[in-house]
Amino acid sequence: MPLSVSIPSHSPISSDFLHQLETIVGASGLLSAREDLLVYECDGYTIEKNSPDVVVFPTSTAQVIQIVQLCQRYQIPFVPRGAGTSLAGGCLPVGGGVLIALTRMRRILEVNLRDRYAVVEPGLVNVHLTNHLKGSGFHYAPDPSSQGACTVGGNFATNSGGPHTLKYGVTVNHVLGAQVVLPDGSVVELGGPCEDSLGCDLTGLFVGNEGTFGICTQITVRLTRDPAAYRTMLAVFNSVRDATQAISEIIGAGIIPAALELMDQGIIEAVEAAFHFGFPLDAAAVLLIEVDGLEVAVDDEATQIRGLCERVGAREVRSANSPQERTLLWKCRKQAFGAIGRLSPSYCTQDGVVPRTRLPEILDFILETSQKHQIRIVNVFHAGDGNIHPILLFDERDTDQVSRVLAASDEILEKCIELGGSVTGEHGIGVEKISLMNRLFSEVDLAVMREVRDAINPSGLCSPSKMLPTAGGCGMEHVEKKTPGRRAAL
Amino acid sequence: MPRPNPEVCPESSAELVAWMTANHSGPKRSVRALGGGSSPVWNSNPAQTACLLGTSRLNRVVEYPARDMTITVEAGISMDQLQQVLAAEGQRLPLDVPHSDQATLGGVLATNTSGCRRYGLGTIRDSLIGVSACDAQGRLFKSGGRVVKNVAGYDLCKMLIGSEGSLAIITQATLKVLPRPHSAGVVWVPLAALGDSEAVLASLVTTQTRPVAVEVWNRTAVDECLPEVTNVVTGPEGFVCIAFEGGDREVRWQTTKLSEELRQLRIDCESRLRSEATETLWADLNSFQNHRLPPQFKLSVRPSRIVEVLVKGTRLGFSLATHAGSGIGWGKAAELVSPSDFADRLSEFRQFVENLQGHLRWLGGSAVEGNPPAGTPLPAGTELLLHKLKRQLDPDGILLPGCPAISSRTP
Ligand SMILES: Cc1cc2nc3c(=O)[nH]c(=O)nc-3n(C[C@H](O)[C@H](O)[C@@H](O)COP(=O)(O)OP(=O)(O)OC[C@H]3O[C@@H](n4cnc5c(N)ncnc54)[C@H](O)[C@@H]3O)c2cc1C
Ligand SMILES: Cc1cc2nc3c(=O)[nH]c(=O)nc-3n(C[C@H](O)[C@H](O)[C@H](O)COP(=O)(O)OP(=O)(O)OC[C@H]3O[C@@H](n4cnc5c(N)ncnc54)[C@H](O)[C@@H]3O)c2cc1C
Repeated sequence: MPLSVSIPSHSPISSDFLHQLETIVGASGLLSAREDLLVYECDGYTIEKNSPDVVVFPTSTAQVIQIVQLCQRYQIPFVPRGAGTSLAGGCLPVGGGVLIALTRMRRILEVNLRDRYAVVEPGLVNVHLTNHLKGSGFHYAPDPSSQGACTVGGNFATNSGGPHTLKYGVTVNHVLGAQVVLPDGSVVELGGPCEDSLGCDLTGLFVGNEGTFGICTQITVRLTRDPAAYRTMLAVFNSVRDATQAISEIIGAGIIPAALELMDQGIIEAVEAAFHFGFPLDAAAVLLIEVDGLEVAVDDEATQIRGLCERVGAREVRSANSPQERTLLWKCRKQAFGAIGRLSPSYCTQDGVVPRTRLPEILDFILETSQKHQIRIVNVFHAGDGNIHPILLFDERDTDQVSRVLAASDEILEKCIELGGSVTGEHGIGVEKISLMNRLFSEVDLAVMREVRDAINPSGLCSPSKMLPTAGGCGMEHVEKKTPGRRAAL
Repeated sequence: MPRPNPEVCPESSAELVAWMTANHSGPKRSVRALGGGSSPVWNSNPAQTACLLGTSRLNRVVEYPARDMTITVEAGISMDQLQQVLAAEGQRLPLDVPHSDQATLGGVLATNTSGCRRYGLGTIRDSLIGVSACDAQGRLFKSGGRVVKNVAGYDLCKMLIGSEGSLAIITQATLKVLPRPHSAGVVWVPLAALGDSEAVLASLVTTQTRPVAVEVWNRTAVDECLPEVTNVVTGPEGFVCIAFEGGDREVRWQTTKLSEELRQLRIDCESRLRSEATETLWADLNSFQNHRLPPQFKLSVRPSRIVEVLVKGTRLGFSLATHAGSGIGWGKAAELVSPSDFADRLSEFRQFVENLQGHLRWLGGSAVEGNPPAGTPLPAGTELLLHKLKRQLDPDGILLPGCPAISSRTP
């Protein structure tokens, strides 16, 4: 669905501008042919699309600086992009302009185990860092399910989570510093390997900025000691309610497992077809539970968790008996999204959060919503954090279905707000959820956020129309009128 | 410590907002937030011209859904009061704060205060999930929320951490909390020479244990904290202390294991276990910051450089207690020295720290008359960014920080 109304209007890209870009990045570092740009017209959020005018692939901070300065001189908007796995349209080049793809800046610049940090370029794929550290006794803790593709820069910009962030925290808890090319083309070094920084926590403020505070060109991440031991369990339930009750019991008992993930029947079916793990196809839900730590401690915790699950009616609690089995279990979980292709041609993942004890309510509500809108919804999510991921299955070609998907999504997210939660736990606002921002925040809250953005991105050329609705607007100004579904859902 | 007196002390955030709004549209007086007044910064800044706005009556628990392991409280709550509320549910905020009977959550957030257990448990940024604050114009804004995972909007929680009241007055905060551990244990390594600590610290890169605190203190720091501190095992030049917490078995296994690991390196050590009264252990390790003569400066280097810093600082006559695992140190003049001699030594020390790409921050203290010594300036880029933020949020320059680090004038 192409966009026809692009709010930030800018001067057309001139051949002179293109020529100068090419001087910076070289002919092989630039794409501007119509057919080459198609890949870049959306990210993992496919409901809205718009093509950039040009994509550049810088290989150094110096090149990024020159690109940004050039864009400022010509008043052309620019948007950073990592692997493009964002599920919120963070990479959507609203209004066209220059897409700055960081995928060729992917070096690991330094690993320092003694001081527990690594310095990496933003285009480094998340799992490549973990692989690089294998055997060192350390790892990089944030492990989004997309870690095989997404970049550390993308994680930085969206403050990504993952299954193990329940115990270890999200990206911001593991970022010590960053080098950022600000929207005016100057460079700032925030934080660094010294654990305390002077002044306020600007590094923390920059994490999760969704590409609106400039281009991150280097990241200093904290490295975490590998756990000595794991116990990975699969608890099988006959009802989703029992499973969510088990989660409440575990957290309520003061146990923080390393990971606590829920997959419902729909997902189990898809995952089983793809990986043949041996999931019980008749189960309503399974919980994937992992505790980690010292060998002397993990068994006690595992036993306690097993008891709590059984008490609320788990029909069976299996343990992964070998490292291979554990790896396969995690592969099933992390590639669950990929397996959904078997269920439906298109899908839309939501990312609401509720207080963990409200999970039973929100899952009941998701079921009702699914029935009401006649849209199949399956669930696989970071249950321990209360971070739900209902996946709405549909066929993109059927506009009626699209509008029902959007309506159902909005209702679920509204319910999350009502239960005291949020509309996004890790995927970000992007363009997708802009219209919900004024449900979560007051005009004053948004005004202050806008002022913070204006302090850092005064021209607004960096990632325009993302995250914050324009003052007084509904946030959907960029959506084309002929996207009836999105409109109907508002 | 003498506590500065607030001029205004609002009863509720609505009252605070009303006062700030009236001030902004009226006299535009300079305002400085006052929490518990326990920070050493008040010592070196006796002549207050700003209006001190006290938060101590904003001390209510707003919501505590214990089973969700989150709590929302007003910012003027004292750290002791907060920890007591949590303890009743077997929970805690994992943070060591000096003068915790006085110090408020708002003050802790505004100064990014942390203590010895930050090595294993992190700092307040790892616990803060939502915040409300009032800016100089009287606008009450919030960021984050009450759920443990949330990326909606900019994370202004982080912006306010360490802002020292220069951007807004924090009125309320939501924290994620943790279960209280049962036991604690320590392994002490008495030091015949400070330099010996490096071997211990380096060995932690591969230890099978997972400490929550790794401390190195020089001898004068230990002596100053005696006799209040009862459990310390020190050598002629100080100690290394490696601390654990968790379940009984876990802690016992770790103290034994680490002792074995150290003995293999021919390092003498002594281990102690505590299954009750663990708080006295942490109080001992936080006694340097908690001392009635508070530390005068704080420094931060990469953890691998902390021993050099200790050796140099000791030679210059400072008493130093360091969270060595995190590369953070606290210090003060160990002996009575003249102000000018002190200034010379401190500037030499600061230079040394900066040469290691670290920084030293002057906090305050009684040993110095006249202008407080300069600390490491903010990196230029950061300073410029902070000025831009300040200009947006407090264009009239009403809110005064604890030090001149952030002001609305152009650098
Ligand atoms: C830069 C700095 C760093 C410090 N770091 C540490 C540390 O790492 N470890 C440690 O043990 N101690 C540290 N201290 C000492 C620290 O101030 C006290 O430990 C702190 O907890 C005091 O709390 P309080 O409520 O008494 O704050 P106060 O002494 O009342 O105030 C301290 C500062 O915080 C501001 N402030 C207080 N309340 C609010 C509020 N509600 N909103 C906005 N601003 C407010 C004040 O304006 C003042 O600038 C630090 C002090 C400073 C100045
Ligand atoms: C199958 C699947 C599973 C997923 N699972 C998870 C999960 O478990 N947890 C989770 O949090 N997310 C998950 N996601 C969402 C997504 O993978 C994350 O948001 C990820 O961090 C995006 O990284 P990326 O490199 O693809 O960034 P992109 O999608 O390219 O960009 C994301 C945002 O970051 C900005 N950005 C990218 N690089 C930079 C940079 N260098 N400087 C400044 N801004 C930049 C972009 O402008 C955009 O706003 C999943 C997505 C998919 C498709």
